[in-house]
Amino acid sequence: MKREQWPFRPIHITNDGEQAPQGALLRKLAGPGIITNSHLQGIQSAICHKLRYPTTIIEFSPDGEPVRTDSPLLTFQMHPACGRFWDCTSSIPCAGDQRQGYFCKESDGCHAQFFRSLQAFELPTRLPKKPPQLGPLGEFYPGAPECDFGPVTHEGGRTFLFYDCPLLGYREALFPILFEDAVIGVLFIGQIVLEHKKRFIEQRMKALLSRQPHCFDAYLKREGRSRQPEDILSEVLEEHRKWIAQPESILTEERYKQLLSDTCSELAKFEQQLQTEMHEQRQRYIGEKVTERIGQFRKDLPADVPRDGDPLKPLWENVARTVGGIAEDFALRYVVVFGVSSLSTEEQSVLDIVAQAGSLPDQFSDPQKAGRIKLKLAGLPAEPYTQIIYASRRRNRGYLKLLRECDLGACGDLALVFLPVPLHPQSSIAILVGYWEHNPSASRENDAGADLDTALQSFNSLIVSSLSAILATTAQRHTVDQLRILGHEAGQLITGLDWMRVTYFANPTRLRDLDERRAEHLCRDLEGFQRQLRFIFDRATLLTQELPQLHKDLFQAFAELLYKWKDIYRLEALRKSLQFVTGFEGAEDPDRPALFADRILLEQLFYNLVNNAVKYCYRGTKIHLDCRLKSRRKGSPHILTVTDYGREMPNTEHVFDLYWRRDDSEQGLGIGLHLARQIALAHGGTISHESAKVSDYNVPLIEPYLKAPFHFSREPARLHDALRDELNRLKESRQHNEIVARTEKGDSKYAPSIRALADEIKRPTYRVTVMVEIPRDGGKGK
Amino acid sequence: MNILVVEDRGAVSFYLAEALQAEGHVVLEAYNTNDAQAHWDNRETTPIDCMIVDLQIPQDGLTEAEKEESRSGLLTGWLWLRGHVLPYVPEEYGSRVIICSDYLRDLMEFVGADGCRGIWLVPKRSPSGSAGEVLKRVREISGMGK
Repeated sequence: MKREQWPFRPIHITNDGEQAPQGALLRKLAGPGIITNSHLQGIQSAICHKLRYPTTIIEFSPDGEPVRTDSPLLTFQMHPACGRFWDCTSSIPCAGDQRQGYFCKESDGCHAQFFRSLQAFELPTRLPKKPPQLGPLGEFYPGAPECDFGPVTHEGGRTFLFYDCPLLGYREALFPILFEDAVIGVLFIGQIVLEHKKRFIEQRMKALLSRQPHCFDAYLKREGRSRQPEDILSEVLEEHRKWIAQPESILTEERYKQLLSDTCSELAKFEQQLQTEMHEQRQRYIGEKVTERIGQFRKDLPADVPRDGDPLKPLWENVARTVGGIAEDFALRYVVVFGVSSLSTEEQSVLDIVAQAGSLPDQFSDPQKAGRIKLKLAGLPAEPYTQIIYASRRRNRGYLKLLRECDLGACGDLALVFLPVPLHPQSSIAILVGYWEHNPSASRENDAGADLDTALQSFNSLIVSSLSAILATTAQRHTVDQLRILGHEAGQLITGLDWMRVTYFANPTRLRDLDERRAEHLCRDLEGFQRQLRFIFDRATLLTQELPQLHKDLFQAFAELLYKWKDIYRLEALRKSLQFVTGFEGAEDPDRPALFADRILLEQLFYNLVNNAVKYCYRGTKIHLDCRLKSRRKGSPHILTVTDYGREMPNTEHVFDLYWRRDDSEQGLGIGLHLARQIALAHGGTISHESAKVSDYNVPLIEPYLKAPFHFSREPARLHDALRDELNRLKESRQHNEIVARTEKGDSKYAPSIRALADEIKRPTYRVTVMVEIPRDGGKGK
Repeated sequence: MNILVVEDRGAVSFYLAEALQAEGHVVLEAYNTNDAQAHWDNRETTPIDCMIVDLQIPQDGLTEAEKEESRSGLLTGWLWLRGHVLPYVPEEYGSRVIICSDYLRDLMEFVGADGCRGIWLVPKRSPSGSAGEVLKRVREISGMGK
């Protein structure tokens, strides 16, 4: 199987950015992050500076030729006997790149291969074969013994190896430079070893001068002097003696060990820096590509809904183009989009394949099989975002169950199912993403996190856009502005998800280290995001069409509708210091028997009411939720009630009119209560509300205000007296406890700022209760 | 760094605060302009090195005239910055302010291109995710020193 490359994986580490497969894009994104040999040379330069010691580095591009770079002092040090003549050797045949001095593909290439084998757990403890002499040096020293590689060594969590070269009187340590599990270069730190026989070098130089004097022709020419080879030799040897006499030239064992240790830590820092740069580069890449694709997607959306034919057809064609582009941009194996293929379809609980791209598995590529694959909404689990997390870890049974239920079978290297929301079909999209199972460069520990992170970013945008497009396609003109605000609400949640992604999913270590309680909160919040998104899209769908045919069944209304709201609004409750009071005493409560109604619509109704309450209540208050029989008499209807304490809701029937709002400064849409009434009426029920002033003051602020008199010394004393009287009255009538949210310890949840106290204390508090009455049989019909 | 976050949606501010705290910052949270002003008034004791402001937030704390101007509340965050923050700081402080909102287009229409020069504007529904962009800018501001 061909291994596709992910953008900005080591394939893009190149000696020359122009040669990268997506060179044009790389140039466009020019800036920090694209790893070229200048990065590695930068590492080398910085390490030399830090260690105050010369090094050599060899960069290994996966496809291109390796390049060797020596730091300036290295030539002389590495070849003290012949360094002066190094420039003269260009006429000597060399196996590698001579621009940088020398490079031997066989020996130097061997180093990288060795480390790559180690990385692949093939675990050689020694190099597989001894490389031949280093290129031109073989010519200088014919017949010299080969270099001997030492065993693999570990220092500071890093694997490296030594080799001794008696020929050169030299020993080197080789450090692999790693990037996302690939060896992208090798750093050499060398050390002269005095025991390696200066005499041996002298002998070889003499032999060379006698046998190959032409080697020095260029040197002599450049020097412009007529010299005898013997003179040259004595000069070289004298230079060599002086050089090794310098204490800083010859490293002590202690200093060399220190150098190696420092190199390990410096390399680790640079590798981390490379990772950071690449991460930023990926973000930019994703931003660029997704912006481009989604921009095109929006641009290509038809301005008007076609009167003839199916209005969704051009939409899905557009989606197919977009996902095709995204699959290409991100080297995904395949993408399959499920959605409603036609607005006129009668099979509303099933999604068809509406767009696909990439190299599809058999299930999708075979037309006969593909025709049978449909996504049954009823069979999907209700926690898609949670599924994503577990799916990417490939350990979740629920995920496999999901695949079976979707008739997807074994999709081989399928890695992720992304299901935004099992919604009303007309606003549903499910996107199935296939990755290459053996992502060549994803780190083993982090691949789930990285891929998930990328997928969430890219597809969130597509989903939001697609859903918006569906809604726009089916919307009436006068709802455009309202849908825009709904889009804003959805955008808020997507932003919340994005921060959650940045905080946890983009950081697998943190995700792994979560304690049980925190992990539970994370899952609940994900569920909360998902449910709120679902209700927003549902609301938009309901806004633009008649209520769908009711699908009633018997369900435990209180348990299923009310109890979970604490979790769904956990974050809002935290920030606004709210407390949900359900008074729930158990599913067997005779006052709260099961209800026969359309579960989805009723849930939508309840969401609208709770959402309204959360929006308009004061901070630090309680929201009371209840569902009970109106009376114990046979056939008595159910009463759903949502009570909040905050701003007034006028006592007029108009509050349930479409687009009714008290004033323009309100954040609301004016559709939530209208839809609630429509749903109630569809069940043969009624909806009403009561709004009554309970205090002339903002009740949760009264106690904190009275406890902070110093700050309000300019206020007239009568306000203090009035507030104290009011507090006593509210406490005596037990209303205070009914209104003010408390912590488990019994303290007020809300700690207002001084400014809030001064500014908001004089706002009257209203008790607003919305009641929905639904017949026990859910109205007529099934 | 002390970062003031003016955001009324708990679904956004909770994880935003966690992300910033994970990077070692101290987060001062504000639900509306009243809270924000309280932190701002206290800046001599607790300096505010950076602020992340949503545009559409509750109008508590604004004057009646400002409420009129706020375009149905869409630009509340900007009105607070304009009236209560920017006049009291050097011009370069603007580079420490990040506006993260869905209503940037409305803001640009309202103030013009030069009106919020220097302030970093991040659309909330950025395709690559607004969180990453905001964090990147915060890191840059952190690098600027106090």
